[in-house]
Amino acid sequence: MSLLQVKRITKHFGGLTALSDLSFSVEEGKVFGLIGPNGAGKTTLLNIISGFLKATSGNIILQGKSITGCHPHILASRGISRTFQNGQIFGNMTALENVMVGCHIRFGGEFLNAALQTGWSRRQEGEIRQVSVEILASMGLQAWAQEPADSLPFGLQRLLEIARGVATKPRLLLLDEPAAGLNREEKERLTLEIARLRCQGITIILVEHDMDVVMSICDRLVVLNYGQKIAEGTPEEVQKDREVVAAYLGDEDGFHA
Amino acid sequence: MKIPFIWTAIAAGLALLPVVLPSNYYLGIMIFIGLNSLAAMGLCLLMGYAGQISLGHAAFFGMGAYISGILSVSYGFPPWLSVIAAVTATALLAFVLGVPILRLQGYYLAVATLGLGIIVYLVFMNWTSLTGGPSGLSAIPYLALGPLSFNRDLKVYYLVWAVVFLALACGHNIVKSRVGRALRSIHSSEIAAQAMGINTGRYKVKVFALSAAYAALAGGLYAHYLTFISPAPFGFQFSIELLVMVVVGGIGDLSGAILGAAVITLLSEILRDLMPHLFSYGAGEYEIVFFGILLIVFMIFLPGGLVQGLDFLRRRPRVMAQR
Amino acid sequence: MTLLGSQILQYVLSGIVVGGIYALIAIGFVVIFNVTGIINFAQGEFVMFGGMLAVSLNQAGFPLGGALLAATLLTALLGALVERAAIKPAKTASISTQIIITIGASIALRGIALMIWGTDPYPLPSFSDGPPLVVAEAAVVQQGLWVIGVTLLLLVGLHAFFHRTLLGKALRACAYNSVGALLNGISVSRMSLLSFSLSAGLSAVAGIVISPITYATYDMGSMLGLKGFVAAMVGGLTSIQGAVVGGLLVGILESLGAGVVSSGYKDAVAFLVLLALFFLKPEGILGGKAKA
Repeated sequence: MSLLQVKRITKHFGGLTALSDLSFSVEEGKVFGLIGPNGAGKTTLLNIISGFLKATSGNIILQGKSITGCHPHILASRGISRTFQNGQIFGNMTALENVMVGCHIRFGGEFLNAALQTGWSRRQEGEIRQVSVEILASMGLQAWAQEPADSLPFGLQRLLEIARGVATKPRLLLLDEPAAGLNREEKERLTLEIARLRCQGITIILVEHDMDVVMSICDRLVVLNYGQKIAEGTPEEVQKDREVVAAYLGDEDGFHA
Repeated sequence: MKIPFIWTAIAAGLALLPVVLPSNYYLGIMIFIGLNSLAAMGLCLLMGYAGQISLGHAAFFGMGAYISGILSVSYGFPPWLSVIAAVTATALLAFVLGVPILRLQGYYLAVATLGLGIIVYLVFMNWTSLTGGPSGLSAIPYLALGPLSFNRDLKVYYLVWAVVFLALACGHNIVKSRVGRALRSIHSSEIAAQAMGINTGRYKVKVFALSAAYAALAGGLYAHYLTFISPAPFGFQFSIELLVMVVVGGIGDLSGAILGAAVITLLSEILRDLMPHLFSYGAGEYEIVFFGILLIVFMIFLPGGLVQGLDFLRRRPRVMAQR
Repeated sequence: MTLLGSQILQYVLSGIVVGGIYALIAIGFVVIFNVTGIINFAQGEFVMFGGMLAVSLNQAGFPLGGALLAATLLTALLGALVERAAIKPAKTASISTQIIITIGASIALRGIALMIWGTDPYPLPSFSDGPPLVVAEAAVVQQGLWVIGVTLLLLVGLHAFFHRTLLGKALRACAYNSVGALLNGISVSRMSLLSFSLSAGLSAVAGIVISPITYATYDMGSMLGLKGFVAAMVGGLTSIQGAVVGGLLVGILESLGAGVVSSGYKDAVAFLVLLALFFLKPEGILGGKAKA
């Protein structure tokens, strides 16, 4: 069954229509690509799904329940996590602490417990640490655990942001251009990591310009142009679509695949 | 919990200090350092960890002092109970006011907290029937625990510093915990914190209330130590002094707040003695010039404050050795 | 006219006079904010230095007019000095840092004034002698008319400066898009310096024209500065017209509040207005956007 349904989403910014009457659904356990030229509305859509923006009209449905208009932190507890296009790691913490923040909703302990260091809160802390170390190690970042997150090489910061998202134990992970600015090796590593997350049963929506990454990893694609869906299908189907090719002609990112 | 050697040493030093201090005057200064430390730690939790500015923290200090003073003088509460009530009431009020105020960011938050501070100060001044107005509230009873009355500087000294260390331990535990990480994540990137499931609005309001509680606790102890309070010390000026303490000590470090409180309290005592000899005018808080310059110099050249400076000095020999 | 009616008219008229002062200070905030993105918490100290310098120069034997002009220019120079010493070194720092730095500048300047002038209030002679102007049983002292007149004159002057002169246009370009301005050969750093000078000069004028009414003291600046800031915020923080509306609004409400409710809470009015606006419209005021 489908995990997420986007139903007739429209978004206006003042007089500008960023998304118009957009509908599609995302199957559980798949990598779902969202592509299109710059300004097509991809990030706007991610922001709506993750609760950072309110749609002008339409509905978002997660596992049969409407989540339209929910706050981002509520959605995180419902199983939606994300990364950000411009990279939003917590630079004032170590890599490990970044992932530990990701574990926030899976554990408890508020001010009073923390202040008094109750046995329960210490056990929670121990578990958080253990889980986070494991997640960091599974991404191959264990050597960087105690380093300030902003001292990591750029490509690893991207991976760390994904690791932090994974730590929330999401059903659905939204990745906003994770390959931007990465070199070839790093892109290959990223592709492998995304495939591995799919194996763990995490559904992924991937916004990406890099067609090598998109074509090699996505099970299904939706192509946006000027806020409208112009094509949907498997990568092979989409690649043959005339309208898609036309939309990409003249776009400097090109269609490399 | 492991306590680092340096803190054991500092605590031992403070415990023995009264033996060597020449007079009660210095004991009094030490008490003020302790009280200022408490309030500065509160502000540090808010600013250094959660990244939310407050330019009105003197108001919470004052509310702790006034609520506790009024409850014990006018309503006959036992002093320890009135202090607890004052801290609770101040924290609750900060929580309620924090809901709308902490939705603001940057300059808007700064001016809203500043305005709050000024309004509270004016209430102290003008609600004469309750606060005694500009002439203040006197005959506040000393704190007492059973037969033990905190009526001497020496006893208050030990009480205040015991509270400071307790508050430091609690604060330290909080910042090292899941809650502390959530606060720091808000400081770094509020949107990413939300994407991690952190209710950022709620955390900001809670830490605001906690930080007000620290200040109110200091205020309550202050009222029952001096036995007299008036609005003057709780104005905008003191809010800024608390800010200076946090910045000079090290904005991202709780123990820096204590260091900052010590340095600034001592500095203003020294300057208050010294300045009248240099300038012909009688009264005036000349030390503010230095505070102002300190703020600028630290923010530009040592944004991590004295704690970071000391840390750097401590590490440098090792760095040199590695070369 | 009823007694209450004439009293209210009196409050409104006094409010307009004070509001003119707030408006001038608010414009100072807006000019700096537009060009540099900084809120200068030391703005009020420029007001104070204007007033104090005018008094001192006048007492030192300068004719009134000369003293006023010299005080304004000296304060403008001080504004430039503050920009170079405190603002420029931290221009890429976080907002909290910039807030703290300008607060530092503010208390340092106030302390310096305290060292120079002490705590005594100093009188500045009124610009003209004569009976107050009476409007329907309410009176405005002559100096109040000067305040209104000078405010209007400066508004006209500023409009001409920003729209007719090359320098003014460059400042506006900087406010609109600093990268674009840079690409067109405008030095953003010099514009920042200029905005501080201009803004300090404007605030000095505010301090000078109000001094004959309130006397000049070393600590007059903080409250005037804060209220000017509130006025600027009420007006949306980026518009000069908004600053003028905000200034008058704050001035009139404050005067009414002090007169009708309680004079003890006079200083609270501006902040209550601001907090009320924040709570009703947390996303911003008069179209101004509450940004980080």
